[in-house]
Amino acid sequence: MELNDTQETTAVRVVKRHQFVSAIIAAIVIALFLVYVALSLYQSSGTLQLDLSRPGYDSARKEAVSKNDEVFEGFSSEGGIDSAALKEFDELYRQKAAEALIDIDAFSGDVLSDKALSIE
Amino acid sequence: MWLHTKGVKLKLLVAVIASFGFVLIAGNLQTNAAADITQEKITKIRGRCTENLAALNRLHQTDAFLRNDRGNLYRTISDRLMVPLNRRLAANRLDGGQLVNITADFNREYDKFYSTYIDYDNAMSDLLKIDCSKQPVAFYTALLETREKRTELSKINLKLKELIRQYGIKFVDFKTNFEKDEATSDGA
Repeated sequence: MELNDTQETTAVRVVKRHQFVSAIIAAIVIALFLVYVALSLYQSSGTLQLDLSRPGYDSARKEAVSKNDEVFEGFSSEGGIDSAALKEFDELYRQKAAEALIDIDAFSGDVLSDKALSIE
Repeated sequence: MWLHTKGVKLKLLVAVIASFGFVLIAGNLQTNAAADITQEKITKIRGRCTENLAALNRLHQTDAFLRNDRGNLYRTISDRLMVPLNRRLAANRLDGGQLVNITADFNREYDKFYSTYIDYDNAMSDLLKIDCSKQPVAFYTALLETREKRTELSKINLKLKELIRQYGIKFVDFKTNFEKDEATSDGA
């Protein structure tokens, strides 16, 4: 017990004597911990997979930026329902549905087939 | 007491044998997956290693763009079109039950799309880390897993497209009925 008290006193004395250095070390430790938490969240939330700012994704990033220039206001959730409102929605929906239903075979498994990779 | 101890021992023995059996069967299944790889295929994997890694890297990038593009589009359709219309119909006390159901299915499917893409991307990243010239069998096993995840993602993507189509059809039905009702009430 006496030994512990002596040790604690020594530790406190060291911190008191080197307050500035201790503060810097504490700040670095806290910063490292927060970076660890942030990176863990970045990885576990799925943001990592959607992040086009990663190195090696230049072409994908450029394409995404050029496409995101268009602003789509959408359909207002407020107001009455009449033929004009339904027609407005119809036009907006057809426009977006056409983009979605365009005949792109997105994520088709064929590109990973043995034939496509010439290893059949 | 002795019988009881004997019973426990027997149960333990059965459990141990069952565990060994399970491990053997599981190991055999894995061996079967690896057994599909012939020596000829291993040679081809080694021979085409550089080209295939370059192609897979390009595909990884294209997929990232595609995921962002499709994902944004699907979110726009749901958040800026489907949901606002459903709310407006509800606020005007009109029956949009079928449209609401399709929107709910769409959002559920989008959540699957989100998590499946993460799984697929992780599988693809693991695949790209394997040196196919040194570990062709591990590479092929990882390729099979990635292919499976991609197929799953493709199915979900098709389902989302189908739901967009269905919503469009149901909306046209709703619009037709609404206009018919309006014409009838105007005539009366």
